[in-house]
Amino acid sequence: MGGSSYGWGGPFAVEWLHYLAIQATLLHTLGVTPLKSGTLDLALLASLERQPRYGLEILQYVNARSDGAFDLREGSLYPALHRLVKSGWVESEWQESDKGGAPRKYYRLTESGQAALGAKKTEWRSLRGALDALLLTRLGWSGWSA
Amino acid sequence: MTRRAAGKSGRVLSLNQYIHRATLGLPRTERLDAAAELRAHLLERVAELEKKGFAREEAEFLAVRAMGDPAPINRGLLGHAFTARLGWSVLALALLGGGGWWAANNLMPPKEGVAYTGSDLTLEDLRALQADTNAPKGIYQTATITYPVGTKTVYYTYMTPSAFNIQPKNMLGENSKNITGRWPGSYRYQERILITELQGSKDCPQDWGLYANWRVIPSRFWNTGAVYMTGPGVGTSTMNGKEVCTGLKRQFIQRHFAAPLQNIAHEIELFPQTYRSITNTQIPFPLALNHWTILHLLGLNPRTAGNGTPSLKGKAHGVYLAVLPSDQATPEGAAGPSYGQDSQGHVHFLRYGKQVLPDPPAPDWEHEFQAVPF
Repeated sequence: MGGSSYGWGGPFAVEWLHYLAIQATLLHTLGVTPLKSGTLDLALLASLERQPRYGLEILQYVNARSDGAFDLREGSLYPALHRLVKSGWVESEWQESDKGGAPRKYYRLTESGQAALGAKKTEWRSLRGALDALLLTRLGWSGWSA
Repeated sequence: MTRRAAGKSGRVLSLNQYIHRATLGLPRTERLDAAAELRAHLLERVAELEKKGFAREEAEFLAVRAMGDPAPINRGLLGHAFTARLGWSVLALALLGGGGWWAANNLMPPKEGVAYTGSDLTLEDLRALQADTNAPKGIYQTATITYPVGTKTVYYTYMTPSAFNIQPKNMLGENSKNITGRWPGSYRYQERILITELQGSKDCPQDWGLYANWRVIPSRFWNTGAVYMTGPGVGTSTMNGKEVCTGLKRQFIQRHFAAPLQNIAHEIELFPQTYRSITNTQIPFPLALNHWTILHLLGLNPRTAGNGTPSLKGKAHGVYLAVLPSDQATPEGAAGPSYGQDSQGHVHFLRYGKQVLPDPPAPDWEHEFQAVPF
């Protein structure tokens, strides 16, 4: 997988984490924990869409992009990555640190991981649409203004 | 945001301890891989914190704390909840215990022999006695008889000084009914017997005898759910619909039960009437193949002396119930028992059909007793 090829998502893919963060906040208002509702996989896959990353980098990326909405605990990251590797969506490779520190284990999306990410995005869009319709109709809002 | 600083114990874990707990139970390669990754993560965190001015120890503490509880991480990496050795041990013990219980119930046969179970009647015992209008009131000695493997025929006898009766029961039918669904070799034919003494009756008001209620203990693996079987019609004071007087008058009473095996001395005890001898055995009495085993004996003393005064001199007479588990098939045809009986009531040359059987024990005993008359 080439780091320079972003596919259809392109730079727009970066915005996925913002969407997720907003929706995560909405779900919080409904009492739903987003990490338990299966969005963690989507967040991790999305974080790897542009380039391979290692664990701490993924963590920092997700927390920075989502403004901390995910509250992703450091320890819970690795079982989730482990699960993604087992499902064949992500593959890992040890690489020497560019700063001369300890070697790091980098994760990258596989082809099936790309497909899974696409499917999860579609799934998320429909969920988001349904929630928008539910929440915003109640508030008397008639549609996105921007 | 609250984060647990360590494991459930609340103890602060070192970096090594945290990694150890988080990767516990993983296969070696996976464990080393996960441990290296966690260590790289933690060391990078520690380095970041040290750059911010934290001491090494503090940095390690904060880095480990930020990771959270190692147990859910360990479960996540393993993919299941049995992370600790204790968990596996408990599971193994539970499986062993359950398997052992199942094996004991399904594979292991009940212990052979005569298990005397005191005088407490079970609900089934009460039902059996209620169903028999001849059952007298009284204290019953209860016993469960488990016949030895290889028993093809059981011979039952009720021996009195005045009568000898023997009746066979073919085990082939029982075994074929009960063996279904059982592990081969785990089934033993079992009977329940309730015995009490008859202190005279309408037809024989002066005579003493034994009443016995027999029934087959149905197997849990019985072919059908509603089979009722009666035990052998032996051991009651009625034979062929007519009461048989034992001819046994009592002045003293003595009882014992024991397996009349060769070279085994039997202790015969003497009790006044009011003293009830009820036995409760932890270990079943032996019940050997091709031997007569007395289940219950009522011995009466004395033999009336010449002048009519009760005496303990001379032979004691008694009545008993005995069984003979035989490894020979039940004789076919209508031929019944044949035997010779002397004036003392001793039975010799006992045959049933073509089957030669050992002589049943004599209904009298040479022992003399010191007894309290009642």
